[in-house]
Amino acid sequence: MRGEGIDTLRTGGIGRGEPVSIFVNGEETRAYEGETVLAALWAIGERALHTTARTGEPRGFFCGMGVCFDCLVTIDGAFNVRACLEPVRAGMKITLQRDAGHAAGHAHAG
Amino acid sequence: MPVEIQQPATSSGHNLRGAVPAATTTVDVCIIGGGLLGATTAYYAARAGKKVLLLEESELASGASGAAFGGVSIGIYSYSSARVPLSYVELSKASLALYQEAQEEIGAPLDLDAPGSIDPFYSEEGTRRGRERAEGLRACGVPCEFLDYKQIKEIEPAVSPAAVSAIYCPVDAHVTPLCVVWAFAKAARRYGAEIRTNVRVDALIRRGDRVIGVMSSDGAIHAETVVNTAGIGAARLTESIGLRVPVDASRGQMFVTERIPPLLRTYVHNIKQTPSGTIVLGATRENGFTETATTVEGTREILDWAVRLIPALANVKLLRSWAGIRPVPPDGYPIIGRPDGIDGLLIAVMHRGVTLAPVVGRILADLAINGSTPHDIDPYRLSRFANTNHGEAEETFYAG
Amino acid sequence: MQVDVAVVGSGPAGMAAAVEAAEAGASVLLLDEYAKPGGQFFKRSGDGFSVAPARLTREHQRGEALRAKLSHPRIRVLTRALVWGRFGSDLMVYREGRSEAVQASALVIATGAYDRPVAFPGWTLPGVISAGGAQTLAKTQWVKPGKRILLAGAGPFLLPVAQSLLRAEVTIAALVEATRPAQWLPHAASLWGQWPRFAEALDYKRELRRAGVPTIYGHKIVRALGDTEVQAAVIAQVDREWRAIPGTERTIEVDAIATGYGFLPNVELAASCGCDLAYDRFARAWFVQCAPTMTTNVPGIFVAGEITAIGGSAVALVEGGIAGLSAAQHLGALPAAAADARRAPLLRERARLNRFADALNQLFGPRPGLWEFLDSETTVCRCEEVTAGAIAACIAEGCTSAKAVKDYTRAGMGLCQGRMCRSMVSELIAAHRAIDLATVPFPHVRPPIKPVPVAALLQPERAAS
Repeated sequence: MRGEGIDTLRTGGIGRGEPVSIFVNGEETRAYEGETVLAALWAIGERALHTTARTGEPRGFFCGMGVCFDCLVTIDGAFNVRACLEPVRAGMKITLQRDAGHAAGHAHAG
Repeated sequence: MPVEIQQPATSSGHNLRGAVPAATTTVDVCIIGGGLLGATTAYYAARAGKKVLLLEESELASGASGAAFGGVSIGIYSYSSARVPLSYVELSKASLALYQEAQEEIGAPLDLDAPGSIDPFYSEEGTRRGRERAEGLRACGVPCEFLDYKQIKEIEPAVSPAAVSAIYCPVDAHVTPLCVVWAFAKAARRYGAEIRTNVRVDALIRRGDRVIGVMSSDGAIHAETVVNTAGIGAARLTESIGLRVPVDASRGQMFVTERIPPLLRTYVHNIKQTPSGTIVLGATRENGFTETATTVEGTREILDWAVRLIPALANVKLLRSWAGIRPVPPDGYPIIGRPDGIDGLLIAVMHRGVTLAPVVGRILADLAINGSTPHDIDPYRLSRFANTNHGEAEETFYAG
Repeated sequence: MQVDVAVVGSGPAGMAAAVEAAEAGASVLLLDEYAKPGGQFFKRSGDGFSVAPARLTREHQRGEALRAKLSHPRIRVLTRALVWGRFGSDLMVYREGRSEAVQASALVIATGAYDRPVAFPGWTLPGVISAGGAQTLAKTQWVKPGKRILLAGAGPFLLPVAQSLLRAEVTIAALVEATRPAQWLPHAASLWGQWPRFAEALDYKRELRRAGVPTIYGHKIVRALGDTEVQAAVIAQVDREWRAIPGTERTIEVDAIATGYGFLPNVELAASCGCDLAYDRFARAWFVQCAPTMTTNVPGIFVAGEITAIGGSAVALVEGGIAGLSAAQHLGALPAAAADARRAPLLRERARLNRFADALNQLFGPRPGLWEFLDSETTVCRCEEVTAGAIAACIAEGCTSAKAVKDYTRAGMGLCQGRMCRSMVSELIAAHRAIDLATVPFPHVRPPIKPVPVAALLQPERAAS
């Protein structure tokens, strides 16, 4: 499965929680209990967590502590969930938000 | 191109314009209040070639105009304890037409969308009243249909069966009021109007039976016509010349959510989805409240009812709340026009300013330019309050 | 729910306040929106991680010691509990899908701070993160922000961040510090007597040296390059005002950039409760005004920690203790004389620590050059994708306040509720109107002070259905 047996961004020599399977855009992916969704995604190089509503620009995370709301993903149907705060759960279904069909916003914004 | 950033000066922070009061200025039209009415009046007057100065004590749209829901509705929402003059429906229709014209002329976005409105009823009794109302509206020339739940669901799949029936008015529209104010103000400037913010008007200057200008924090302004569109502050200004303008305050708390994928096409009573994708909800009707605070009770009142009607809203995140104070004349209908016995002054105060702003702005501009307007504004004269005892305005509608 | 003292925020300030108040006899409710207490200073890994002691830091021990004290019988800790507003005396808390009102005779707000967002071309690319965010990923998740990172900023916070990165086996291409050591000398007097701080700093520097990490002084980040993620960083030499010196740009290949140019305090809850704010010239931010006893202008509301001034965990601990004592005194659990006696040594310690904190703020506080590259294309409001150019245009149209800018451009209307862009919008207003930043007021704050699902705000009976 994804994230196993490859060179991830996870630091070596660290004892982690029980291995669990999560699903990222439908693909079964290795994660570890106790880590956040952000950690699980970042570790496998999945860094464009969502694309923005107006210009479709890719975004990762910025603050890592739940303030910036950039690390938005859809988890088990709930959208705009902050990956940096959400702990992984076995069987979790994560969708990376891509152009969720949001409208453009009023043009004063330039 | 890099933006030039200068070192901030260590001034006391007054806006540069306000720091040095101007000498007496003379203009054709001096408008007090930079909300919806002020902005539209400025636009139509400037476009007709008049020298216009608009004075706003804070920022544009900082009063009720900036807080409003933004519904542009032809007669569905009326606020009266008496029969509705047909002229009110006519005014609303004319205003919607002007919005569409303005959208093209001005070229700046108003976020104008005309998907129609749905006004639900929740019981058999409500359905009975609603059916009567729909007939009354049609008799006034307002295009509308009376729908049952199945029909409602065809138009708005997100609405729950709590909506037993509804009046559907397919031509109703909505705007983002802030955008409307900014767009008209910008267009007014293009026609030569001057707009000054952070300028306070302290009093009207009266000479005999004529208002000849205003005293402001920028000095004295002399004007052929002074237009008082100061909303909730309009009454205070006219008191300075001994004229009473009765205006009641009604607070509306409003709420907005995060952006979500398309959920609503129309606006369902007071819930709409903006072009940005956010859901705007509101407003409360709290008579007599003048503080723009939001409360737990207000939040629950609006949200409880919204989730009952549109269950999908339950998991959407609320982002902001705000409140505006509606200026409501005692019978609920607008005050428009020249007060009896005083020249040089025009007053316009109303609830539902969003719907009527373009047409009233046009009326005020016409009155300032040549003293007349093709619209029937007699029902909205200030003097109707002189000797009558009006009860509290109710939300009812009767055909004329 | 009724309690004597409600404490919002369980970093060092909140934890210290809770402990002092409980020891004085008050019942305490300690609330935190995160999963575990500790805030940012004492953040730690989730359950399941086991880490060799050599990788752990001093903070870890301090954090554990403080957390242990929370087991006091009069302290109840509620995590994943979000305080979204206060109406009258009701503190609204969202937890487990619903909202409830907490009534407390005293409220201690210790909501901490977050990394100051600084915009530059390319800063929204995946891989460009805050220094705090880099540290959180490395230290609590043991995931590298990138294989090779550039750390750019100003001040001593960069050192523990660098340490966390190194211990997570991240290669640090360089530590880019905006100031130069020569600029620190005039402040030597204020730094006197702070030997433990120096010892810490030297320890960090030694670790950096051993790892071969170069420190580049007098430079800042000016651009991030890459198309879908960051691939390189461009830095430039700066003058005393942190303005880039033309012709000094240098490109460094990295796959992550972490910026640490100071912090902004989370003053929203306090502001929405009616607490007065004061502008700090050196930190270039609005903080909650308070007396040395940590009282605010609102009777019964006390503050502590980074929301009173950026001072670090040592000051936060002391201020938390003071606030806890003052709260206990306010509700009569502690007589005035006893409160004064217990507060006195803490007040002295606070004054001593503040001398150092003030010096750091003066030395390393952000300089105006940090905003010189807010050009027409650079995104300022990340949530709503509003550029500096759009903001400048609306200021030119006549917008004079942050609220007007927000209304006109939507900057600040997104999910982060303006936390990322607010300070930069103020900088742009001050610069374009040529006025003092102190005269651009902090915008009015209304609930919800963090986004809350609609369902959580309903009447309890409805929420249950």
